[in-house]
Amino acid sequence: MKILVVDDEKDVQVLFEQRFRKEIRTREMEFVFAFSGEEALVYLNNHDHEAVLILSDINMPGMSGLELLKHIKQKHHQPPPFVMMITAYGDKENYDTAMKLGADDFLTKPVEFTILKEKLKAIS
Amino acid sequence: MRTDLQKSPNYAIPVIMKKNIALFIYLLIFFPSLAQYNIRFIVSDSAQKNEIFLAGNFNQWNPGDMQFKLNSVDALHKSIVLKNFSPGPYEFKFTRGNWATVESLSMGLDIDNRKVQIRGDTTIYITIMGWIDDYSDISKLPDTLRLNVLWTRSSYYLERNLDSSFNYAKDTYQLSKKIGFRWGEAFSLNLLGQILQRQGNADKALELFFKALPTFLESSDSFYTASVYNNIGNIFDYEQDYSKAKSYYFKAISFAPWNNEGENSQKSSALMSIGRVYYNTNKLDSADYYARQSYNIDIKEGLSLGSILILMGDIHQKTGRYEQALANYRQAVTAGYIFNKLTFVITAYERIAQRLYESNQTDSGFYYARRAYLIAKHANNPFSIVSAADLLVDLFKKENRLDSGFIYQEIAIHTKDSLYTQEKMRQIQNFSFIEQLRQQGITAERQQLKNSLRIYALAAALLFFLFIAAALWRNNWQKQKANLLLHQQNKKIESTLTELKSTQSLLIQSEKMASLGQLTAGIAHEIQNPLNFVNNFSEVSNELIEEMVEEADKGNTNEVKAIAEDLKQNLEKILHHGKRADAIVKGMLQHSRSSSGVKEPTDINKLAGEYLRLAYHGLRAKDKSFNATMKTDFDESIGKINIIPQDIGRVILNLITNAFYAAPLPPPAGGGFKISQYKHEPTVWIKTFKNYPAGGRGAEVLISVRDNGPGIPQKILDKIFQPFFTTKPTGQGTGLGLSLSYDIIKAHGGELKVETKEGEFAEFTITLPV
Repeated sequence: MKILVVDDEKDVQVLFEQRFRKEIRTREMEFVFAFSGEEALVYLNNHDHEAVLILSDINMPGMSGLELLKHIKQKHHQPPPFVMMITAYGDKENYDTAMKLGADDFLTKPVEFTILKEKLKAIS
Repeated sequence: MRTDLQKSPNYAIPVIMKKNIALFIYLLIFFPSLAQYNIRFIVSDSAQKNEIFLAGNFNQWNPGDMQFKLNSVDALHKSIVLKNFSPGPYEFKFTRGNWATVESLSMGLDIDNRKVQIRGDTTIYITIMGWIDDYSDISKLPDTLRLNVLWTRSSYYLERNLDSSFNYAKDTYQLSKKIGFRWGEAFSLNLLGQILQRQGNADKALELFFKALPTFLESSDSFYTASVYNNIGNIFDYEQDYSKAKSYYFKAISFAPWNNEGENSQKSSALMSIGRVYYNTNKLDSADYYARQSYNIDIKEGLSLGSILILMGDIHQKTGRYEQALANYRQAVTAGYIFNKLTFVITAYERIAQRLYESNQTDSGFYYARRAYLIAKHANNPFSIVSAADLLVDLFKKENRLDSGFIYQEIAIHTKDSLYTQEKMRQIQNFSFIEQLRQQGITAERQQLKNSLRIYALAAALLFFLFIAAALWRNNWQKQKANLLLHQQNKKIESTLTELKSTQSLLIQSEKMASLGQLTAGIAHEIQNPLNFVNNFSEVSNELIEEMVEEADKGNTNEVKAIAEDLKQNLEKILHHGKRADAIVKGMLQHSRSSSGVKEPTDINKLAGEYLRLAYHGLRAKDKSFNATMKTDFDESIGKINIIPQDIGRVILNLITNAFYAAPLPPPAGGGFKISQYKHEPTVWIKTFKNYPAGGRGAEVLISVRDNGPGIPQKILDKIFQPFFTTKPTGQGTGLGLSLSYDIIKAHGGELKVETKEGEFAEFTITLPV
């Protein structure tokens, strides 16, 4: 399963690679990283249908996670991939907007990796 | 024999008599039997003087009355209980020792009169902070305060010790001169004149009075102008040039201030002096008229009361109304004690002595003459000593007791001699100083001549503009009046200014705290991310170590090395994010701290970026529905510029916060985002740019913050940099943000400008010289 992680914090890459090192080693999961909404869109356009699951931060400079979500769900990709939003602001407003735009799941920071791992395994 | 003094109802001065009569009638109506109460005085005297006496209207203000000596309670406290007092108002003061028991220099020194209303048994606690002769080292006081102490002392000793008075007046003159305080110079000249006059040096005294006069006239100081005229009058009076004396007294009256609140003493003194002139020229009706006039004015203040009452007594005496004369003299004694005018007390006792002797009460006559002599001796006033001793000699001669009189004759001669030698000594000692004053007088006169020539020329020119001048003069006169008022209010304003300054710094601090509040939420968010990384990398590193141990057990060296490499990297990440959080906290502290005011090379792009994030997250945390797009355009060629980062940071934060506030606002009614299809996307742009303006004044850095909100209406555009101006609802903005920003940029030698179009945008641009 190919998972696209979108976050403006670059160290997220190292963190995910270590947290999921066993899954990566067994090729159970494969991670791709984009450090902005724009980068994520470029990747998705070039690698159609490759990513089944997208994990995106909401608060990013430039294109926000919610805008990215809108693009993915409305304009691209049939069938649309599974999109999980991650944000520091777990308020209702944010949650509702994400859900309205078609987000499949919603997590708040700090991310509990055991929970995330279970969720990812359930999807795959 | 002193009991005679206490028994006689005439000893209370009339004002107290009147009060007592009113009280008596009041009590008669409302109290069938008069209640009697005890009053207990407890005095805490930090100077710990041995002998403190109570004096008041209950003992004819007699200082040093042994019946009213305070008893020691402990080292610091003394007390006295007064029994069987009728209810009512009492006045009292404390004196140190008295004329007969204490060293001459500090004789009868006292603290201010106090009032108390007795309605029942009463205990009065008094703390005496210090006695008038106890100021220790005044050389360390600031000039203005020292000046105050000096002239207060000089005035005080004028009645008590002419040498001390002279020295203090001299110091007052020199200090005033040093700090360029002309009023103080004139004030001390007026005092020095009075001292010289009392020392019998009328010519020089006159010179000094005329030297003091112009300053008081120029500064429209009516009280002291009148005072100088009174003193000049006194000199002509003494020289028996009565018509000249009178003309100066009338001048004093025309200048003397007149109001119901007091300060009428110059007028009453002048009236009394005129009365004395008429008395001396044997016009008793006129003398009586002026004495009564001055009495009516002075009764509230009492500064001349003693001499007025003596004059009234003299008039009665001359017209054969002996009982009234005696009553007036006795009232003069009391008034003299109350208002600390011991010369009046001495003169009044002398008059009483003569009167009693002449009415065949020989013993009483001698008693009062001796009393006058004793007070004069302890007041160290040689003129009074001579006059009292002469009186005693006279009385003894009349009694044919020449041997007893001989002692006083000796004393009188000796005092006159020593007065003469002292006078010589003093003249030698004071000569150089007085000469110096005269020299200054001569140069001042020359200057005055020059000035008056100039004034004549000006006056001639002014004739052409008479009408205009009249209007101006009136204006000026009013200004002078206003100036006087201003002078009085000056101190008040000064203290208000200090208050305002501290309020201002409080406001600035509270504005800082307000912007800190805006930042806190943003900072919390900013810290959250690095903390998450620290936690996550620590956790994952733990797992890696377990794995590494497993691999080591298997003997898989390469794998162990790879994991160790990862661990090393993780530890670096932990350190990195720890430092990141640290920097954020430090930045926050820096923001709240008062500016260190130190310029340092700063990456303006980084600073702007940081504050943009902080402002965004801060608003986002406060208002969940808030959203705005941020666009940045940083000129990477700028490099580091020299600024005070926390100050410029505050300005940027303020501009960005304002932009975020404005961007989503609805357009103004009737204007606004004109294309109806246009969907408003609140956006904030921040841009930096290095510019090389024409004229080669060097480079400048521009930082602009733009929002696509409703813009700023033209009519408030010139107000936005004013302090306390805000468009935000009450309680949401201090109105200081832009005003402080403006000040900070000015302090950096830069500019803060605004450009706006209603319904389209507002753009603030900071220009900083590099």
